[in-house]
Amino acid sequence: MRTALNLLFIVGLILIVSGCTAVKPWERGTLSKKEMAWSPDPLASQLGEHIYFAKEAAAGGYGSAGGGCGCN
Amino acid sequence: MLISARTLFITIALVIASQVGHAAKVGDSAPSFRARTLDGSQTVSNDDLKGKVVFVDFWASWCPPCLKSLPEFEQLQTSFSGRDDVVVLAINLDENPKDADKFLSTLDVSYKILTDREGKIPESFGVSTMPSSYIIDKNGVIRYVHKGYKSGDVNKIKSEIEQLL
Repeated sequence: MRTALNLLFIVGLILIVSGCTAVKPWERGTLSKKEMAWSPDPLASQLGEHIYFAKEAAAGGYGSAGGGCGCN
Repeated sequence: MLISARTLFITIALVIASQVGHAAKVGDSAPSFRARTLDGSQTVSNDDLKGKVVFVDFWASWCPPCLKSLPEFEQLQTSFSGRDDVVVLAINLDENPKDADKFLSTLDVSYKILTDREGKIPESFGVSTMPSSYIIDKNGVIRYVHKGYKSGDVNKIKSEIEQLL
């Protein structure tokens, strides 16, 4: 019974984990669209970050530059 | 506990490992590919290009470094235009070829632009970065892999091609 349950659990786990897939580098066209960026206005976002850095002496944590295409 | 942590770890690791593709590297035989030109007028296969040095670049219109590289690759085409043993190819990976057309309409490129909407060719090369370029020697072996692109990288690529001639 215990073995059957283990097997069932492993099979279920494999099915679930195999549903996770990495987006291939050439499939990032949609992700790189402007509307997919965290901030709709990069300049305003940069200014906001600068103010935050000046006030709080902390920076980063806003993601990396670029629209998510993963280029370079 | 239903199963041990070790079993759980091994199961997850195996599933993840099964998704990692093989990346073509220097010294490997270049995977065979066949693709149509963007305008659909021709089909190009690297099997037909044996005996020639083939430069193949993977690009897409949404990839900013790709937009720098394409105009600069025209220098390769110009430099080797007198030779029939060098072929410059660029494979577009846009899901919608119209995006590529729109971008190319602003450029003057004379080398062949192929299209692979399904991404089978980059899959076979194991492309890990956009853009990625490969130099394949006359025997069909990959001799140089260039990942990413910044202005001036074309000079390095050009010298790599020259060493194979």
